[in-house]
Amino acid sequence: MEIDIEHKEWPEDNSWRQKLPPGNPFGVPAGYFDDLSERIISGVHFEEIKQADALGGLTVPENYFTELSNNIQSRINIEEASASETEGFTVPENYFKQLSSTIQSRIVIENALANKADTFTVPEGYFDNLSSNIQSRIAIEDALGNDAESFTVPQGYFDNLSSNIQSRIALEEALGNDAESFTVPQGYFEELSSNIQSRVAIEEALANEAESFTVPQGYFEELAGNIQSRVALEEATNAEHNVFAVPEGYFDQLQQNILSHTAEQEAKVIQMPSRSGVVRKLISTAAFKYASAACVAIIVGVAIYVNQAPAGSNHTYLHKELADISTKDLRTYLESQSDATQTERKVIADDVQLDDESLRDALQDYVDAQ
Amino acid sequence: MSASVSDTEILSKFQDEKTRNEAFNLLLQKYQQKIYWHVRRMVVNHDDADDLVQDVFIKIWKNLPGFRSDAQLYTWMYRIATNECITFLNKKKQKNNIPLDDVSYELAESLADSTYLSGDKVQLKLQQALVTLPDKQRLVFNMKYYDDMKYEEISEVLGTSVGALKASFHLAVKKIEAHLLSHD
Repeated sequence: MEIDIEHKEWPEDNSWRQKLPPGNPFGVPAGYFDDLSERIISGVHFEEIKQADALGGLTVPENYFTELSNNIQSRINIEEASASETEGFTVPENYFKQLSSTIQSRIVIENALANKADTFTVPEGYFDNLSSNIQSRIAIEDALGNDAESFTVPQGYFDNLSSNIQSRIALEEALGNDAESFTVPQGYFEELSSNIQSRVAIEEALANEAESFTVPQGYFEELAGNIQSRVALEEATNAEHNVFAVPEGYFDQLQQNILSHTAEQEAKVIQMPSRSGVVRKLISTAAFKYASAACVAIIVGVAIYVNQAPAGSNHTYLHKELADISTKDLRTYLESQSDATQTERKVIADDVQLDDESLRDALQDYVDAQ
Repeated sequence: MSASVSDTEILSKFQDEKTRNEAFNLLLQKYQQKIYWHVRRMVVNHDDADDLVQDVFIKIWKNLPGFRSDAQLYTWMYRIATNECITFLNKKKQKNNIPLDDVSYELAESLADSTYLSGDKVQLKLQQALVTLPDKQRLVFNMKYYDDMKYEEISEVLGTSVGALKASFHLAVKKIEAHLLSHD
């Protein structure tokens, strides 16, 4: 090729080109070009041999050529897609080298499936996910193997797991069907929270008032007996019964009489409950109870005794005995037992004639007064 | 001697099976170095260039029976070599997950590691500037600067219009000039 000296295609200002030395910095091994042609010719002959014996001594898989066009077209499409991408699109290392073997394996599998389509089937997309599933399973088993000492299951767990799950499903279905056996009133759940809160408030109030209301120790055990006594008392004092009669104005004096009789005993104060409802603790002892019972008995006895005494009778037992005693004995007794000044005052006060008859009359008056 | 054999004579001898091998030898003698340097300037590494050169001539051998004389023989051969270089560079980018338009780093590495690299500092600087260019621009510059090919001949090799080639070449010159000045 002759070099065209008259370059009209170079830029006008190409002075920088003249500064550059001719040639290039690349070197070659010694004698490289001497045997290059021989090596190229050897390569050409090798290609010829490959073409000539392409079919001799070498076999191809069944149906290889029928699928070859599809494989090549797929390969072309992949490479075109790869070449058209400007940045960021890559394929895994050795992808294309393994692609043909992967495709062939897939073809064999699909042929096998097609031949045995009536007998064995697999779910749709099974083989697409198979590799990822196997890898996941391997990862899990590796993890299980490493954690063999940490996580264990009972013997036969996985064998019974499916039946257990089915039983559980049946049980829950049965429970769901029995939902109608258990019912609640209408609106129950809506009111439940307010009911609970009310109950809580009540119980808190009761707990706080626990100390406000108390009863004496043993109160309830003795309550029945007290009530019965009270009933008997009410019956005894009932006016309609009319067994015992009492003197006129007797009950007006009754309280004074009782207090005078019970003045020595231990007095207990019973406070009436206040309007706020607080009941003071009663001081009730056994002595008080007995005193109450004694008072009642005395009242009843006095009433009986009064009713039994004959009206207007002046002849008591004392009068009878005194009638048998002489005047001398009476005088001696009175002098020894009584104060002389007291007798003198009475005699002077009453202007008593000191004769036997007058003395007897005075003594009689004295006894009657007693 | 081989340089005086015309392309027509080579093609006519190649058509005859008896003289086919002789024709091919003549072809090799006449064009092997041109093809080699064309490839070497693109891939930089000698071993890669060696493999590619052999592949190129094997393809020439296979396809020469079907060659039509509507194009010049050497431009046809350059086209095969150019395609092989581009294919090789694209494969290299794919293998190393490099963007398809960014092979300059790989070529710069090859320049630094190349055992068969000599020449003065300016020549090395020029090569360093060239590897920063896109593949097509680098091809245009190499064929224009080193091989002194006309734009019409380059157009036959690359299948690109003359005007686009001129623009590409001028852009490449500007970039190289800027690179040389900035790294002075």
